[in-house]
Amino acid sequence: MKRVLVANRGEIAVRVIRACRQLGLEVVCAYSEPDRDSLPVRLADRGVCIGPAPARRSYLNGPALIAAALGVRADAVHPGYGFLAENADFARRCVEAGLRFVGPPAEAIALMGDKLRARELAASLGLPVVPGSRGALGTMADVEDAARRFGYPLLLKAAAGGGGRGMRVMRSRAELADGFLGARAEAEAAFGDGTLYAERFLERVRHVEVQVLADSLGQAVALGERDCSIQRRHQKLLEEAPSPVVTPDVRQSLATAALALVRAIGYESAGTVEFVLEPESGRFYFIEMNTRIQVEHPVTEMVTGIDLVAEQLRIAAGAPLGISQDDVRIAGHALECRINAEDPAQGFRPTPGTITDWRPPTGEGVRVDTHIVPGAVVQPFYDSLLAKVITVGADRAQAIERMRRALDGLRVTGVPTTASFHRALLDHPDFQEGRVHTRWVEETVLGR
Amino acid sequence: MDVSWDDVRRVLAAIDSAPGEELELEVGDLRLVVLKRGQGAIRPATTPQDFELKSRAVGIFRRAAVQDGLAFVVDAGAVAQADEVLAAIEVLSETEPVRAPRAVEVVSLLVADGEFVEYGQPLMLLRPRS
Repeated sequence: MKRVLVANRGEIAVRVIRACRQLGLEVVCAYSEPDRDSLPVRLADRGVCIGPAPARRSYLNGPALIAAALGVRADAVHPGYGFLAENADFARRCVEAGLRFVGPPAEAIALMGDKLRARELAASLGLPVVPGSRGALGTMADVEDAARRFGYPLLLKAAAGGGGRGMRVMRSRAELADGFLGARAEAEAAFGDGTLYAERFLERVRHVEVQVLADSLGQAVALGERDCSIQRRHQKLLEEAPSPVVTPDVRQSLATAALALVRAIGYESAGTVEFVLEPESGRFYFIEMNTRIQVEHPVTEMVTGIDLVAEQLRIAAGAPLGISQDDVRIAGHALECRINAEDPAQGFRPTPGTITDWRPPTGEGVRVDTHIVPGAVVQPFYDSLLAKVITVGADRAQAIERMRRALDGLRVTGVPTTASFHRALLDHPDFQEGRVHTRWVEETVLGR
Repeated sequence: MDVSWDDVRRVLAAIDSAPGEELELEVGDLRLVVLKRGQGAIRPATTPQDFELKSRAVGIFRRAAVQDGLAFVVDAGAVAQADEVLAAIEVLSETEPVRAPRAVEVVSLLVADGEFVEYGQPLMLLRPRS
């Protein structure tokens, strides 16, 4: 493997380029017309324009990306996250074209991409799953039956889903019909597949996910958990590792469960097995597996010292894992704040525009993953993530203190950002004492 | 031998900065002879109305194309009506026709047959015909 095409944009493209450089790989960045002057294109050895602004004609255009990779004689494609990262057909077509797909085999993507099948497989392996329907819900009668069996609140989810789309929480029989039709329409629009299933909706739970790495020789390791309970409408805002509420015993059980799934599906590359956790009992339930590098991967890197993107590239090149489970050590505590070009005062409305001044924070234990430079344009066509501010400390208190100073030191003008919202979160006693759950931001901070 | 883009950049810089019209370069088992010609000698005369036809696809440029079942190779001087096929771009196993946006004459081709082209890359210089 000598030359990698980055089939993505923004901070993750910069991140992949950095890992390629570290491994001595040449790197070509695919870009859409408005991204011509973006930082990743400037950092790469070469850029290739793959289409106009709309993602479906550029970053979601699989044939153009594969033709670009072949045209520049790349031998591997890194999909980043989002866009085509979890598109099994794209992964398959890369391999058919003679390219290495830096990610898992297409079959593993397809299997875990069907959330209903993934849940059934996990249950068959003995992983705890949230009580819920065994098959798809085709009619209102199926939904009513699920409500009778699992009770309220009932959660409807899209089988093809992710990112909170096609999801509805229903608290009474009166809400069933609207919830069912709404979720089905949303899933149909978002994924082209309206298949739904139902789970009992667990309240006051935390979102805890296990980072895994697996090589093509069948070796797999679990790299501890991340806690991503600070969410707004299922979108993660702040993540940390390790979780402030996971005990060593629970950590061990989470790792065992995650690795059982990874081994059963012949997984390769980096992946994340997601669970919800009831903090009081320590009981956890599998929800889904994400077959890509995640936005929040840096917090795991900061407490394990393992470069996950470099490992993805090494695994794609056929190299064995350089570490065994016994080598994995979780040291210290890390936090990540996603700084978005959104206005917290206006319901987190995206705020595209030109960044007139940009001074990222520096200091002991501070890392910033970003694609922003002064003069950068935040495009209206894509997600609004400007930067991930990551801090690491000897313990959680030090990581929080460093994050406070980092956010105080961040200077960004030109567009409103979520930095002030994050800064306020850090001072909230519930957050400091680790007493949050996945609905905490909406219920407590935003008062809904 | 393996040649990276950095190597190519270094070679091009060496050619650019070399005095004289002729340059011979030997790197390992590679021997490169470059004859520098004055610019413009082979470039056709252009008019202010001439415009570039840009690629709408990513793939391999093909001068050979098919229109109405007839295969042909486009060259400078060729004329075409609006929507007539001028060339093609192979995108994996599919072939996307490159069409004339209006009645035109081909002034010159800007990429060679078999060359990789990006989205938006100029493919040929065209002159409007009334």
